[in-house]
Amino acid sequence: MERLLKLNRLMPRWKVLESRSRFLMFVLEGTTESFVRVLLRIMTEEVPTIAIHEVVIETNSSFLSDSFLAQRLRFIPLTSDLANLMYYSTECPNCNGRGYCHLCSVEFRLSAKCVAGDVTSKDLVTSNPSVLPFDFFDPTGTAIVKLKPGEELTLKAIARKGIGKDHIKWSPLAATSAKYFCPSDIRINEELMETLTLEQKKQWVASYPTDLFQVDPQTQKVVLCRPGNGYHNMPLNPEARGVIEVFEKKDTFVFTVETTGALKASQLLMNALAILKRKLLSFRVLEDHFLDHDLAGIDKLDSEN
Amino acid sequence: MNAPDRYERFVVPEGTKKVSYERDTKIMNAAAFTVEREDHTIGNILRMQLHRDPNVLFAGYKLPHPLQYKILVRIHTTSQSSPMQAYNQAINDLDRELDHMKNAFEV
Ligand SMILES: [Zn+2]
Repeated sequence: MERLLKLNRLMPRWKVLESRSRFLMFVLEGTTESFVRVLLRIMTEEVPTIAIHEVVIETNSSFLSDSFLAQRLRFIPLTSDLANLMYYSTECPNCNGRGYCHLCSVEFRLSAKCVAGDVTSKDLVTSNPSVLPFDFFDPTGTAIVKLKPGEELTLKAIARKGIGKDHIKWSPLAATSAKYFCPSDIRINEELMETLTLEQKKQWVASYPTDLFQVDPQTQKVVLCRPGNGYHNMPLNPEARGVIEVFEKKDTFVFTVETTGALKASQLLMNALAILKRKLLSFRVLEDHFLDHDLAGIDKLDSEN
Repeated sequence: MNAPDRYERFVVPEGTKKVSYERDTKIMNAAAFTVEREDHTIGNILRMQLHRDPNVLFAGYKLPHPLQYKILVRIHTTSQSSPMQAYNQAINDLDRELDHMKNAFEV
């Protein structure tokens, strides 16, 4: 850890352990907790996605009130690969920030009349085929409301681009679905280990799960079979406390991300890195114009003293 | 009703500079940067990077108030460097670290 703080620039290494469309688990090695924490914050708060922002209800005779219904619609994750190309509705040059054109909004229509089964996210008809409820091709979809005979529901919903800092519905992560921990590793105390005879060593090794330790046939030393594998919850034999030591690797993080379905997990990570970079650059460019006179001032002050 | 608009948290108001810089009048080579509409995300990472710079004697950030959406970064350097230089250097280094991470990632 102290070694890392002295380095001028970190060069972290990735190792992807598991990658499915919505789920990603990776190891980030050679970085500090502060960086990992920042990555997590950017992913939760600042990666844009698309979510329903405005609901116009034409008829609603279901048992749910209008505002309740709007709330349910808002939290349906929409596939947001398009979010990078869309405008925020307030900044859209095409419609002067009104937020209803095809560059900054997607319109959904829903009309249902006492259907067999629930009204689900599959009943939302989109105006842009690449923005869909994330479970549109699932057999069930997300339930919105159940209608009784004679009840009717017609509405129009406008989805816009936004970030999680504005409202949690735009956050691509579900509440606790991104987390990290430092994996543990085992260090063998060689001096103490050498006081054991070969027979004792073999017994000692046999008291642990197979393949964890082995006795090297040539040097007769006890070695760890798979170093750096994360033994964070291994029960320790109390008699062996002095011989081996379990420690946390403070510069390595096992990171798990699971998205709501709005973005692919790997895409989310790449977007987060790009956003952090853009943020940093936005300070640097603005630096230059007051570099000249302010730095000159410092030099003068230096020579006076 | 009195709640401030949520977009005020991340939209820089018109006529306000994203970054402003103020030199400390009492200490040599010390300055405070005010970054508008940023929070712990940027403050923390910038501070940690500044700590790596051997010429930086002090670097810290604060969020003055939860409803004032800005951070203050204070930097004090040795005479070999200047706060402005350290600040830009930290951003450049972080930028290169991110480039490296982006290139090294593959699924
Ligand atoms: Zn528009």
